[in-house]
Amino acid sequence: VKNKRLIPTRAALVLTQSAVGRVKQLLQDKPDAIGLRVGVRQRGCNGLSYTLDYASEKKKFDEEVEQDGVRVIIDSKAQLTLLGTEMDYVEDKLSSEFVFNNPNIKGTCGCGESFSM
Amino acid sequence: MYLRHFQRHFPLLPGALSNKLCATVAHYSGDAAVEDLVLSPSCIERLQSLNRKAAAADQGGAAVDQGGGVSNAPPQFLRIVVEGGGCSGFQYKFNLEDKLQPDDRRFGPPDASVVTDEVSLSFIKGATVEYHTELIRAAFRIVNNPQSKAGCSCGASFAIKI
Repeated sequence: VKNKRLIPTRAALVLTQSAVGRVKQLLQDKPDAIGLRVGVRQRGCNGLSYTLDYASEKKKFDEEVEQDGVRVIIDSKAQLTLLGTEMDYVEDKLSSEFVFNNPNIKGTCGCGESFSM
Repeated sequence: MYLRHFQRHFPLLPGALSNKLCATVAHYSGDAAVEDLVLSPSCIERLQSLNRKAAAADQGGAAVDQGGGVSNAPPQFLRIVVEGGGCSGFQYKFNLEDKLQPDDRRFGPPDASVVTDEVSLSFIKGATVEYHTELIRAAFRIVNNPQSKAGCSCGASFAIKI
């Protein structure tokens, strides 16, 4: 079979427009970061919670997602957890935060901070 | 539980008097306390910017050239309510409002004030309100609450010291 095109696999993490805008804004203030690193950590009343950090380098087993010019790096330990997740940024008068719509999770804490698989 | 709470706050008062205090909780003025609720600079700054934005939106595009005009809308304040719920027993609720209730206590400057009712105040007396900003989220939260024993990791709910 000639010219077999690679089927584009679904991105491990999808960002919404508002999330892209916010990540762009965050990275503008921090020129030496190559992107944001998303991870999970054992914390909270329901098991796991998300972490977000500036990434200065891409480690060996990290997954990289690029969308509309912004780069988000998924920590190697968080890849299975985050697979297929939509990353959204919600802003209102009282708070503004990144929200992860994760299809893999079983339940969340009341405040949405932590979740279980 | 309120009774125990008041007894702890007024340990020198005889039982009968603190019972009376408890019964008249709505009229308690609380002027003895130095700082019932501490507003951090970040909290004040955020509330001021919210009010500025609201005023600008209120004036609309027509009045932009005048600049610095006073808005007719009353400044909004942050209302803190403590209610049962959350994973640790009690939780904080934040709201933006512009109407005061009769039993409200008001803290902070007029353009950036925090309001709470007497019963809620008894659960957060001495605590600090701040607008905490980090990479993943930015939100109002209550820290250093002397009444809370243990909290949820997200800080939305807490267990009270008894």
